[in-house]
Amino acid sequence: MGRASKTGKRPKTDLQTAAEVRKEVLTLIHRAGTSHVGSNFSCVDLLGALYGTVARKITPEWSEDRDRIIASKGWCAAAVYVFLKRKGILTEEELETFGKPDGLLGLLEGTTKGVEASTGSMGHGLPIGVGMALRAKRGGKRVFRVYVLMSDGEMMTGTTWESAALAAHHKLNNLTVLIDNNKICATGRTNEILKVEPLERKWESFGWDVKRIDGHNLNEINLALAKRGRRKPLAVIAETVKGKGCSIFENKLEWHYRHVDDVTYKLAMAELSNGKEQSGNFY
Amino acid sequence: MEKNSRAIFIETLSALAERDPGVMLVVCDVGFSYIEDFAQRFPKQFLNLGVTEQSATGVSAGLAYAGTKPYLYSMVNFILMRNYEQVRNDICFGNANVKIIGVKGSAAYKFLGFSHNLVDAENEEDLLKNLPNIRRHYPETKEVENLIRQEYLRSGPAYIRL
Repeated sequence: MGRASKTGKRPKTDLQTAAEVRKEVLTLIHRAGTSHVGSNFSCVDLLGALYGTVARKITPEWSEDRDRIIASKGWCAAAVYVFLKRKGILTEEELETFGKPDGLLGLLEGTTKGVEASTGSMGHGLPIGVGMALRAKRGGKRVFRVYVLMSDGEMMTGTTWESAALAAHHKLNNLTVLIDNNKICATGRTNEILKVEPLERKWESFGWDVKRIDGHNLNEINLALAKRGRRKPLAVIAETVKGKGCSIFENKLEWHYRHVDDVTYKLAMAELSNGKEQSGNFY
Repeated sequence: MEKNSRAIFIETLSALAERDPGVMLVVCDVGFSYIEDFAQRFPKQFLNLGVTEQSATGVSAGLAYAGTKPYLYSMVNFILMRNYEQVRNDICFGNANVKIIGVKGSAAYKFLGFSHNLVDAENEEDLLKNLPNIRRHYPETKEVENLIRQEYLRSGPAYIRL
C-alpha cells in the first residue's frame, strides 16, 4: 500500500503539544471547507500516542517490518495526515493539497503515502488488521504489531465481531484495537441509535484483554498500549469527547458535518492557543 | 475418471505452496474432501476462517498488503455476493494480491436452490467488470493448472471460477 518516500525528512523530535496538532488539523479542515472536526479532535491524543512513541519503525523508510497503524475511522484523515507530516512521511506541500482537486482526500485511501488501507466504509479496518497481524505471526522477519483505531459507531458492524472472534481464535497478541468512544455517531448519540455497551463485557467475552481509559490522558493511553498479552489481542476502550480541545466543538453533533467558517476558525484557534493544558507532548 | 477443476487447483496450489511459503489457502468452512491434504501438509499456509466471508475478504487483503499470497476459496455466492463491498474496496481498489477462487454451483448444488447457485442470467462478469485491477477468468478444466500458475506469477487481484 502507500509507500513512503525514501528521501523524506527525518521525523521531528521536538516537543509537540496536542493543542498545536489540533490547530494544524483545524487549519486543514477550515482551508479545505470540509468537515468532521469533531471526529478528528476526539482521536488526536490516541493518534498522538501511536505516532509519537508507541508504534515502531513508522519512518519514511517504510520498512516491511514496521508496526501498522490503521485508522479504520477513515474520516479522521486530516489528523492522520498531520501526524504523517510530523513523521516526515508526507511533505508540507502534500499536506496543502488537502481538499483540492487530485489532492489528499477527506477519507483515508491506501494509495496515499503512509496510509496502510482504505477506510471510510465502516468495519473494514479491523479485518485488514487481523490479516496483517496474521502475516506478522506466520512470516516475515519481525512480529510487528498492528494498531487499529476504531469509532464507537463501528461497534455496530458485523465485521467487527467476526474479526474480534477471528483475532482471539488465532491468539493475535500483536493486535491492538483502540476504540475512540466519543459516543456520538452521524445522526445522534451512539447508544440511543443502537446500544453498543457494555463494551468491556463484549470484548472480554470474545476472548480479548480489555482496558477502559481516559482517551485524552496521554499517560493512561501509553500505559494501556504498553500492555502485552501473552495469548490475547488487546482492546482499549478510550473514553473521549467529540470535538475535544475546543468548547465550540465539544460534544456537539453538528461538528460531524459543519465546515468551519472564518469567524469560528478564529475563535477556535484563539481558544486552542490560550486554552487549558491539553494531554501533553507526543514526542 | 478425469480430475475435476477443484482437484487440479488444489494440486497446483500444493506444488506452489511447497516452493513458496508465502502462498496461503484461505477457506470459509467449505472444501470438504478437497482441502484436507493441503491443510495437513501446509498447516502454516492454511486458514479456515469459518463463516465470516466479509471479514475473511478483508483479512485476505490485509495478508496480501503485508506480503502473503492468499487464495480465497469459497462458493460463488459467498465469495462475491455476500462480501461484495470488501471485494470492491479491500481487494480491487486496494489492488491486493488476492486470488479469489469461486466454486461454481454444479449440478449437485441445484437442489439447494438460488442461495447456493447463480440462476437465470446471473453471472460473475456483471458483478466484476466495472471494478478496477481485478482480472477475471472462467477456465475450462484443462486450462486450470496453467492459469493458476500464470496468476501466481502476477501480483494483483484475480477472480478464477472453477
